[in-house]
Amino acid sequence: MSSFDYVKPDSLKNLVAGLNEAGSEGTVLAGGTDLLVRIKSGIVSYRVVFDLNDVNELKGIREDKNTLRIGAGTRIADIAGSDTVKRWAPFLSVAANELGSPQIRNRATVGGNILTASPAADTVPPLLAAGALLTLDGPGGERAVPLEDFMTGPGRTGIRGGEVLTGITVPKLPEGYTSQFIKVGRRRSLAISVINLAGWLKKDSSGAIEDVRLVLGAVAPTAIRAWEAEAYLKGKPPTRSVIEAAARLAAQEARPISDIRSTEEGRRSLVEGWAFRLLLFLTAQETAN
Amino acid sequence: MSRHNVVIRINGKACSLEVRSDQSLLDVIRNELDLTGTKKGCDRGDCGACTVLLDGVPVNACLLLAVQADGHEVLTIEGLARGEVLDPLQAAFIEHGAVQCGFCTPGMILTSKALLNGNPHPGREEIQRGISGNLCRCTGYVQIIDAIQAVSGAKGKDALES
Amino acid sequence: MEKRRYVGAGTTRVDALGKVTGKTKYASDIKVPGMCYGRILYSAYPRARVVHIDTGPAESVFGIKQIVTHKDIPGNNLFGYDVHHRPLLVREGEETRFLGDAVALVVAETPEAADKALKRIKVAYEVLRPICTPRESLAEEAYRVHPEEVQSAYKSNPEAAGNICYQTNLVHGDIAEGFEKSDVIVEDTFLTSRQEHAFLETEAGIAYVDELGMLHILSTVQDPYALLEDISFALGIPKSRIHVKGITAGGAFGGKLHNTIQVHLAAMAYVSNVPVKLVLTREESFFAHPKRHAQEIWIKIGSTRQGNIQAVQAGIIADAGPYSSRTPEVLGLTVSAIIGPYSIPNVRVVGKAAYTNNTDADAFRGFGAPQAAVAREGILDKLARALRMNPLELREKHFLKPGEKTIAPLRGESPVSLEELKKKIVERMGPWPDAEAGPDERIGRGICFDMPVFDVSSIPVLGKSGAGAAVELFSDASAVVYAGGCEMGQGVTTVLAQIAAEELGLDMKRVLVEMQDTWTCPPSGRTSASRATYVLGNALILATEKIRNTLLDRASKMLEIGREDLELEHAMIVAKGSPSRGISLEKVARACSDEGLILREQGWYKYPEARLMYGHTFMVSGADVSVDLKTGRVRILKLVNVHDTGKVMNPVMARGQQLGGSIQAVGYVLTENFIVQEGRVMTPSLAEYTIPGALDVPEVFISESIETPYPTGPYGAKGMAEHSLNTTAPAVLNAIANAIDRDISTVPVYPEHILDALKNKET
Repeated sequence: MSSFDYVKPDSLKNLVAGLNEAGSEGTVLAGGTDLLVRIKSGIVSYRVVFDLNDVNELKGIREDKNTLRIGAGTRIADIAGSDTVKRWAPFLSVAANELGSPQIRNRATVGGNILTASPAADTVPPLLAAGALLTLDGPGGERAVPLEDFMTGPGRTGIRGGEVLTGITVPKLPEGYTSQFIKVGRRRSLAISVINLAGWLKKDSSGAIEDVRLVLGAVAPTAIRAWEAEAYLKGKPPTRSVIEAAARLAAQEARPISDIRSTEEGRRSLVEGWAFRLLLFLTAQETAN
Repeated sequence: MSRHNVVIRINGKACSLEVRSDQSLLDVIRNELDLTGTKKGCDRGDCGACTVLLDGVPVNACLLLAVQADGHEVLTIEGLARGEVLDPLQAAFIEHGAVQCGFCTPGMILTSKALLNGNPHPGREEIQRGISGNLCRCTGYVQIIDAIQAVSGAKGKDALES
Repeated sequence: MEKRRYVGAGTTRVDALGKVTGKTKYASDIKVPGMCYGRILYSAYPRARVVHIDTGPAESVFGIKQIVTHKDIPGNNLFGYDVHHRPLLVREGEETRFLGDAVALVVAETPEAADKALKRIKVAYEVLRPICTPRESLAEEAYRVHPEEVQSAYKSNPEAAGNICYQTNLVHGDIAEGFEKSDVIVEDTFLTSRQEHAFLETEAGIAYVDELGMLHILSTVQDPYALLEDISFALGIPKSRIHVKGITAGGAFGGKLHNTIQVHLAAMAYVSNVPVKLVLTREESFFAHPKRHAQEIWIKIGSTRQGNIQAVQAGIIADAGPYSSRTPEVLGLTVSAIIGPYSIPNVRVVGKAAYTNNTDADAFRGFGAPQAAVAREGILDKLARALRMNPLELREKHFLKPGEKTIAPLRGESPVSLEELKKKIVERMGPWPDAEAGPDERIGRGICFDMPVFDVSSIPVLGKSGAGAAVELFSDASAVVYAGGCEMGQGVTTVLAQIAAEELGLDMKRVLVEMQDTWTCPPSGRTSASRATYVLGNALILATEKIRNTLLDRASKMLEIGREDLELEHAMIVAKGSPSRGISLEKVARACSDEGLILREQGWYKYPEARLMYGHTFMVSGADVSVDLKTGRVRILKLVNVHDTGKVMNPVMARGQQLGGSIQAVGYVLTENFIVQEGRVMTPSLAEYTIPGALDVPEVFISESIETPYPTGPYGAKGMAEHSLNTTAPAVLNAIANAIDRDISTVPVYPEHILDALKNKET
């Protein structure tokens, strides 16, 4: 592969300093499962890579009162195996367990998955549905950005030069809510999502849908909220015809492209079918509490 | 391109090496250390043929820079048997017809080893999930799953010692 | 029944220990002193005229030994199975025909230098418009992919012109009359896609010229003898100076049947005069080696209202890719297999294969029969739906009867075992499942019978008649078998060891099988067409028989017992009926050796009748699937394969072959999609081209054998290696069609296709 210098900073401060100095010629090496593939394929090249795998400030899953705080350098495998995540952000747990393969999960990081910013990224839909907040550190100091504002297009985020994504604050699944993540690939592992979806939902005491969030992935330049479907569902009883109508709306809100994996129409029909299945699941579930 | 002096503990033996920044662990294992049991199937992390255990955890050696393994433990297929004594998984793979062309076999066995270390009695679906990152084109997986299941179901501590 | 020690037992594979310990060396693991590294500069365009090749910038890279162009090639610079119309290196002024045509070769001291130099070779191309579909190719105005007359051994179609690579028909009875008599006629067009072999080991090899001027090739190739032909013709080296040593393959499935890299590797070593190692990247493997033929099959079937089929008509258009190779044989098999194991009174099948600038197309497990099965079994089910008849009943009405000959040109002599297979599949599948599972889910069942073929070494063309195996018994009663077969995971090495041990009364541990070395092994043809056990097994038995005779004769003298009263048992030769009167095999072998008796014998096997034919066998698959009507998702609930293998030589290995082939077919029908656009491979990685993983195995997955002995097979064995791939895809397709009550006629079939089909009216 095209060559680069390798540096392994031992602290966040040194990582930021190194990145800042290297400018566009440098990048972070987290899990390597995307970056090294791109370098080998000649898609990108850098003069220097900064390995953040020893920067402990970037690791760890911490439970706070209403949120989970996940270090950007936390391995997908650790998220997938975390009881805390399974309890408080179950759809993130599902997504982490479906991402790539066991070997990839053992190296890939949640920060890397977000920054690679594939429209089909698996951790993004549940994080988006939960309303995650990202923290970044850089030459301009620390800042926080809602995930929904951070993803700007395929392979593009709002990260600034010299910045490091440090952590993700994930609102806990509120009481009375159900959640789920669905990955649709051509096979059941080592698959790039043809589409993916995440959602959470709460029913009121009468059984009608009180609140719902539905996120669609791989059918737009970034993962998107299906706002119209959500608006339609609110206040309605979760009957079959209501769910079918919401699924049709979600399919219309999708802006998929045709590529080697599927066609525009094909993806739309998959969105309709899987949004139906997802909503059926969310409304049929008894809540944890 | 930078050069780095590293010490990697490979199959229990500390190896002092000078590696280039852009060399993968896979290439260093195969070319510098002559341990050719670990295979290159795609060099992109898509097939699992290059699986080694890094501190006991299965990873694609093609997506790890050799310099990243500095100070860590690596187990390759050559390090599994104890002299002439095969690991129960190796014996089970032979017995159950889990080996055909054999190219996926080293990675498959190491992944299975880590699976059983973490979960000594996995169900069949857990086994399938555990090896879901190791592609095989010959066997159709059934006899591989049979072999792993046989080891996990075997009575006695010996079968499960790592 | 004769008591056997090894044949029929699930004996341990002889190569398993090396493979589970990492000791087995594949071609890319081998190192030789002074080894350099090669890379092939492939064409940048599917079709372009090479105007000028400038190797200067590449030559100046540090560590380069040589950059080779057509100017450096001594021989004809051409090769190819059957027709030598493949360029080794495309000449300036000539056109490339696909992305796998080579323009230059790099030989360097390090892989990094080779990579660097590869990027610096400057080739000026005049880019031309490629032919992307067979239909385009068959049009009047299409450019001629091969302007010169192509002399093929299979050229039996004088009307074939233009870009037709091969054309063949199967006609029987009167098709017009057949349709006249039909009350119900249905038709459909089946589109089957290319399939990539996706062997885990990419193409690799080492070549060097030794101090005596002998060229050695260490690589994996299923047909080393065709390779001798290729290298000799291309480089102008006499065959006696070329040595091909086959290395165990990390999978092949037909994709390593002929030259993949070996001719180019030979050129590198021969021209630069250093040892060279060449390993293809996965991406190169994707576009360079040939794939399963994409075929469009239109098929029409007519029957009476009672379900008596009167006529079958079909038209096949196959994408031959840029070169001929095995296309005539693949197309020939598709045409022949359209009828399958059924008796049809009136048949007309026309098949055409046209040259394109897409990826090359050649052998892949099944060799044209999987495509035929998709069309045949698909239209049978469509007819069954139209007749409102049970699909199994419709098929059974037309089963070939025992003793009946098929009208297909590839005739076989196999006892017909369709009724037994039918009983077994019905038993294993159980009652037809309830159609409705959940509210938006449907369950369906599909079935597929097939009459797969295997080579019996009788075809008198292109060196495919007859094959040899040799065995040497040493004076210590240990033995070496020399057989030219290719070990690619199917276990041929083990089967031959089993046979030799059985026949010579040896412990299997004392039998070594030396495979695929053109210097030590008798010519054996190719390892493909499911022929190795049958042909090499028979050749080996002819060889061992000679040694047995020598041993028995000598033992007779030593024991002073008549030869006819002796038998060879395990490690002993004993008197029949009184085993205490005997002598150890080792003593007899020593005596023979001391006396200068021949204990190294060769057997040459050729099927007794010299006419174009394969052996036939029979097979069935059944599938139950559940289809989610909302999402189109398909789950295979149950997949059962029952296969008549004649004699199961090794049940553990046979089961592995059956399960493995069936999963390749699950990939073919549900998960794999090889996309070529404008001559370019759009899915050139194992991430984009998705073969089944461990989680994609059907919930209930059964593979079984029955044994109806094949009269001329070793121990009654038939070929079996390819067959399990033929029947799974049609069974799954039919199950899906049954579940949703719609026609499904594409391979692969994705949820999106199913959702699309559901939007259309019910059939």
